[in-house]
Amino acid sequence: MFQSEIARFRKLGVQGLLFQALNFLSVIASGLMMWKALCLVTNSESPIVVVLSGSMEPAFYRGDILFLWNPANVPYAVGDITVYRVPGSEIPIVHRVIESHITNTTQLLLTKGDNNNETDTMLYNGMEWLERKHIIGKVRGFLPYVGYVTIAMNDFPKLKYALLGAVGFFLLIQKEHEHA
Amino acid sequence: MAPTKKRSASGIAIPDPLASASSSHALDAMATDPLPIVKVNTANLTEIKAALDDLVKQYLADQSFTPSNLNPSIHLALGYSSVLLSVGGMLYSLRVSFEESKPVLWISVIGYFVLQTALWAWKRWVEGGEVFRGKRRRVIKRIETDHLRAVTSTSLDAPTPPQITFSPHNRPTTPSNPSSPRSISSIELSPSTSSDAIPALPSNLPGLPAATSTASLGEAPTYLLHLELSTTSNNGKSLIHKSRVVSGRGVGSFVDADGGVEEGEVRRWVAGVLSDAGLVGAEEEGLKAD
Repeated sequence: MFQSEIARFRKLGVQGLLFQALNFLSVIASGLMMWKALCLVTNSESPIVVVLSGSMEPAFYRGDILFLWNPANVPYAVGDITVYRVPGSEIPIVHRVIESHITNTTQLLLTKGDNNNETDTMLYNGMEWLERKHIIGKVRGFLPYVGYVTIAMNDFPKLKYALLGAVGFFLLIQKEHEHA
Repeated sequence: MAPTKKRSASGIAIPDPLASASSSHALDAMATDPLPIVKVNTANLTEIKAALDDLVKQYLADQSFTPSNLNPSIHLALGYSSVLLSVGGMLYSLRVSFEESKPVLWISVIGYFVLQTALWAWKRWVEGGEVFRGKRRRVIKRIETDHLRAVTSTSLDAPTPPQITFSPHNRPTTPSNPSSPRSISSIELSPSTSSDAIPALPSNLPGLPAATSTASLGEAPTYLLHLELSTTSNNGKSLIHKSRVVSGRGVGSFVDADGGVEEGEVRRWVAGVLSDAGLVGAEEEGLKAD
């Protein structure tokens, strides 16, 4: 199955191979850079997240995609829905701000999920308040259901590798059109 | 002569005896060519163009032209520097926290998009479809250098007869070329001359038939080859010959129904275009070793 591809690679020569590799790398690099540009513009380290639990129902359900932003010098208000990550735990949590105090240095926040009965103090890993630096961003938009693709790929990592492998394979066997 | 494989009908059915002689001559030549190696998707014009470009480049390199590496090098340099900048920034951001990585990320993102835009602008405006640029030296009584630049493009229109332009300092290449007394001449050739050795006959001479059937050029889409040729000597100080040819053929003349690309046909066509441009054949004189 690969014979014609291997024969074509051998015929390309060094310059041809460099062009093919550049094409492939350019696609990856442009994807990366667009993501990073989005991070910089929204001032958030992860501007698109997927809801994993049902603690914010009926506002957000498992599988929703949330769009975040983190305006730099604007304090968060009570009622904002924020995504935060407590140091020591890996998974960010999306809950609503119910109490806020502004100190000299930072803003202290207390959050609670709409569908939970108690505040998040148990989740703060020993801290009493959340600080501004723990917040990834606040929600400004969402898309329902689309996040199930990401959930499926996280629960079945082989699916993720298979998808990446298929995309890479098709990029490589496609004849590239741009070399001089 | 039995053909070596089934040929798809390419619409060359013309009552004109001259054209039919040349087309059957072309078919005979194709029948002795080896079977096609490269297969393309016949519905993808970009893929067809890429395959034909490769063959043109290969043929020109075989004519002892040494290709210039300047344009490919600039393309690769801009491309790889943008990729390395982006990957470097990305790796740095993985090691430090988001807040600390922000300045480096800004540089990386903006640098990447600036370099990519520069690359696109370069390819579009400076290179402009150029496929091959090269030169070669020949020795007759003095050293002459041929400079060649080949630009290819595709068009969804039907092919038109080729156009040649000579600059004032041309020398007649064929005995019946009537353009030598004139200083600048632009000739439209009858299409059958592009593929065999019949001398160039301009269509505006009285008593000759009008430019013969453009149907023998093939049907849309067209693959256009634009060659700029100049011959200099004395270290580039004297210009001996300068010409430009734009010649197109229907893509169906080179690619069969299964997608096989006929190398021999492409090479013969390019050889015809080169001789229309007035390139002195490599076989006639000795080549100076580089």
